[in-house]
Amino acid sequence: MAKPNLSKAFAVGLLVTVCTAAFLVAFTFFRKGGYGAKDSYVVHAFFVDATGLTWKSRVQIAGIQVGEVERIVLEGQRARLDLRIRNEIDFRADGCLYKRFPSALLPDALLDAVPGTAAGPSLRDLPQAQREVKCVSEGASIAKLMESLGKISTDISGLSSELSDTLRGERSSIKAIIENLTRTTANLDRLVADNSGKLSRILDNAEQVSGVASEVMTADRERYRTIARNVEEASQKLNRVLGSVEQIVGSEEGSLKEAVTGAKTALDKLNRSLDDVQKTTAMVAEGKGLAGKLLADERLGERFSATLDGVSSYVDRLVKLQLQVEIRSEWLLSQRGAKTYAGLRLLPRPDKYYIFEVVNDPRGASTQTVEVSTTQTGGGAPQTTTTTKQVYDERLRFSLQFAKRYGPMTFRVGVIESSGGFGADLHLLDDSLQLSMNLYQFSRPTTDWPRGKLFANYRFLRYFYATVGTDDVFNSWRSGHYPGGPSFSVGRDVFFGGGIAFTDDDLKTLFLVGGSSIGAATSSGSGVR
Amino acid sequence: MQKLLAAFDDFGQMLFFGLDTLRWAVRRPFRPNLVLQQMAAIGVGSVFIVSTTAFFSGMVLALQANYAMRQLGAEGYVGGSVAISLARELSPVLTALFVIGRSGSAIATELGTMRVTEQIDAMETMAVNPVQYLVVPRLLAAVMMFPFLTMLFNALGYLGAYLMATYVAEIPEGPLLEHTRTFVNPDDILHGLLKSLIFAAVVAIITCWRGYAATGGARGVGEGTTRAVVVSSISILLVDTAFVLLTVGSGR
Repeated sequence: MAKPNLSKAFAVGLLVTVCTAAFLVAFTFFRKGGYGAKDSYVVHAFFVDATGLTWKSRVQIAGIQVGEVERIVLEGQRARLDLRIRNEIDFRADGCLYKRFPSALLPDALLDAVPGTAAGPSLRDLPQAQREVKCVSEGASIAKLMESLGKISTDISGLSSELSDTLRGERSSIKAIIENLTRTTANLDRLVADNSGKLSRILDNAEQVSGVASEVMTADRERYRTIARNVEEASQKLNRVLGSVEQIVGSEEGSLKEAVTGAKTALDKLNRSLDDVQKTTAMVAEGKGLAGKLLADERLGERFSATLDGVSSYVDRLVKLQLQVEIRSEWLLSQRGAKTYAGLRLLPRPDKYYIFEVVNDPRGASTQTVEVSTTQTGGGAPQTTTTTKQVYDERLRFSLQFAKRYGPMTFRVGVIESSGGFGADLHLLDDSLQLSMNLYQFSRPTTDWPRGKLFANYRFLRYFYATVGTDDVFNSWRSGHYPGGPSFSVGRDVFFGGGIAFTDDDLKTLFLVGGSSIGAATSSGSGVR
Repeated sequence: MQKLLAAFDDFGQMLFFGLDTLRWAVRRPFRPNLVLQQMAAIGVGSVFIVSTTAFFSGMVLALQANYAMRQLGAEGYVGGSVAISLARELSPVLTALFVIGRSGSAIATELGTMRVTEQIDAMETMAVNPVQYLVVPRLLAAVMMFPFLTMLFNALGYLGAYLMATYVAEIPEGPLLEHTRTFVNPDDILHGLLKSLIFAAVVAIITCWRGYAATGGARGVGEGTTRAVVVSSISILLVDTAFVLLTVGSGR
C-alpha cells in the first residue's frame, strides 16, 4: 500500500479538526440542558384554547425559562399540553399556568408558571397520570380580542335597536311599563288597607305602656322624695366636714410660720455660701492659693499641662502595649534531650518588641577558669602553678533581646542564652512561616566557632506553631566527659518541636498595675527628696 | 416517449450502480489511501468556495432578515432566524450545490474520460473492479466530508451574519446571541448534518454514474458532466423537499 500524501492528509485532518471544533462549540452553545428525562419531570394541563403554543414553547417563572412544552394533543374538546419542568422547580398541585402573548404582533404564546404553595402536594411526587395543573388561565390573543370586540359591538347594536323600538312605542313597551306601575300602586294601596288594623294595635300598645309608666311614678313618689331628702342631708354633712378642715388649718398657723422661717434661714445660708464661692473665685482670679496659682501662673500651668501630656502619653503606651507569652520546646536528636524556653515578649508597637526568655538547655554551659597557685617548699624558689578548669554549669540561662521589624525582616540584638548575640527573622506567608537565625556564644572554650542556630517556625493554628532547625550549625558534633566531671556535648544537632504563643490580657493588666505602682512609688520618692 | 423510457432505464441502471457500489464498499480490499485522496479532493478542494459562499450568504441573510424584522421591531430575532435557516436548510443544501459544481463535475469528468479512453475497461481486464477502485473511494470520501463542509458553512455563515448584524445593522449583541440560542437547538444542527450525509451519497452516486456511463468520446464526457451537475442539483432539491416533508410531520 502506498504511503498517503502527507500534505493532503494534513489538509484533511485540519479541515476535520476545525469543523469538529466548530460543531462542538455550536453544540455546547445551543444545548440548553435541563430538559432531559433525568433533569426534568413532566406535568400536564388542559387548555380550551392552545393558540400560540407549540412544541418547545417556553414555560417561565419571572421571565426565566424553567420548562418547555413537550407535546400538544387534542383530548376531547380540549388541548392537552405535556410540559417538561426542570427538577429544581417544585411545581405544586395548587400551581397555576397563565398563557400569555409576549408580543402583540407575534402569534407565539408562552406560559407563565406559578409553582404553588407548600400546602399543595408536589406534582413531582405524584404518579404521572395525576400530575395535572388544574389552575390554567388563557390569555386572549389579539385576534381573539378583536373577535370578542366584534361580538360585543353586535350585541350593543342589537340593544340599541331594541331600545329604539321601545321608545318609538311600536311594541307598546312604555304603555306596559305604566300599566305595571299602576298595578304596583294598586297593590301598595291594598297592602296599606290590609295592615291598617295592625298599625292601630301597635299604637294602642304604646299608649298602654305610657300609662303603666305613669302609674309607677305615682306609686313610688314618696320613695323618690325620701331619696331627695337623703341627698340634701348628705350635702349638709359635707359642708360641715369642710368647715372642720378649715378650722384645723387655722389652728396650725404657728407651725406653718415656723416652716416659713426655716426656709428663710436656709436661703440665708445659701446666700452666705454663694458669697464664699464668690470670694474664692475672686482669689483664684487674683492668683491666690494653689488653684489661683495654677490658673494665674502661666509657667506653672504649662508645666502642669506638660505633666498631664506625659502621663497621658505614658498611659497610651501602656494601653497599646501587647504582652505575649511564649513557651517553646525543642527535641535535640543527637543530644536526646529537650531544650525548653519560657518567655515574655513586650510589644509597645507592632514593629518593635522586647524578648525576655528563660532557657533550660540540656547541654548546659561550660566555662573555663584559670587558677594560679604559688607554692614554696623549703628554701627553694616559689613555684607558680597554673591550672585551667572547665566548669560545667547546668544553671538556667536567660535571654533579653531588643527586636525591630522592617517589612518582612526582623532584626534582634541583645543577650541570647546568657551570652551576647544577635539574630534575624524572615516572615513569610502572611507571617505564618518564620525563618530565623541566631548567632551567639562567641567565646566558648570548647568550640572554634560561635553558636549558630537556624530554624523555621510554622504557625498552623492561631496560637500553636511547629519548629524545626539546626543548632550550633558551625561546629561539628562532639560529646564526651570532662575529666572527672559530667558529660558534655557540643556541635551541630538537628531539632524539632513546637510552641505556643499567645497574648495574655490578664498579664498585661498586672503589668500595667505594676508599672503604675512603680511609677507612683518613684514619683512619691522624688517628692520626698 | 422514447426519451422517457430511456430516462427510466437510465435511472434504474443508476440505482443498480448505487447498490453495486454499496456492496463493494464493504468488501476487501479497502483502499484508505484512495479514500484519503478523494477526501482531499472533495473536502479540502471545496473549502474555499464553501467558505466564501457561507460567509457572504450569512451576511446577506442577516441584512435581509434585519430589513424584515425591523418592521416589527424585532431586530434581535435576526440572529436566531439566520442561524436556524443555516442549520436546517441552507448549509446542507448550498454546500451540496457548491460541492457539485466544484467536485461533482470533476468526478464526472474524470470517470467519463477514463471510460471513453477505455481505462475502466482495462481495469476490468486486469481483474480490478472499477466500481470498487474508482467509485467506492469517492462515495466514502463524499459521505465523510459533506458533514464537515456543512458544519464549516454553518460556522462561517453565522460569523458573516453576526458581523453584518452587529457592525452594519447595529443590532445589540446580547439579544442577537440570546435569541440565537433560544431559537436553535442542537437537534437542528444534527438535522442539517444528517441531510448532508444523504446529499453526499446522492451526489457521489449520480456524478460517478454519469461519468462511469459516459459514451461517445470527449463530447460524451462533456454531456455526462453537464447532466451530472444538473441531475445532482435537482436531486438535492428534491431530496431536501422530501426530507422536509417527512420531518415536518413529526412536529419538528
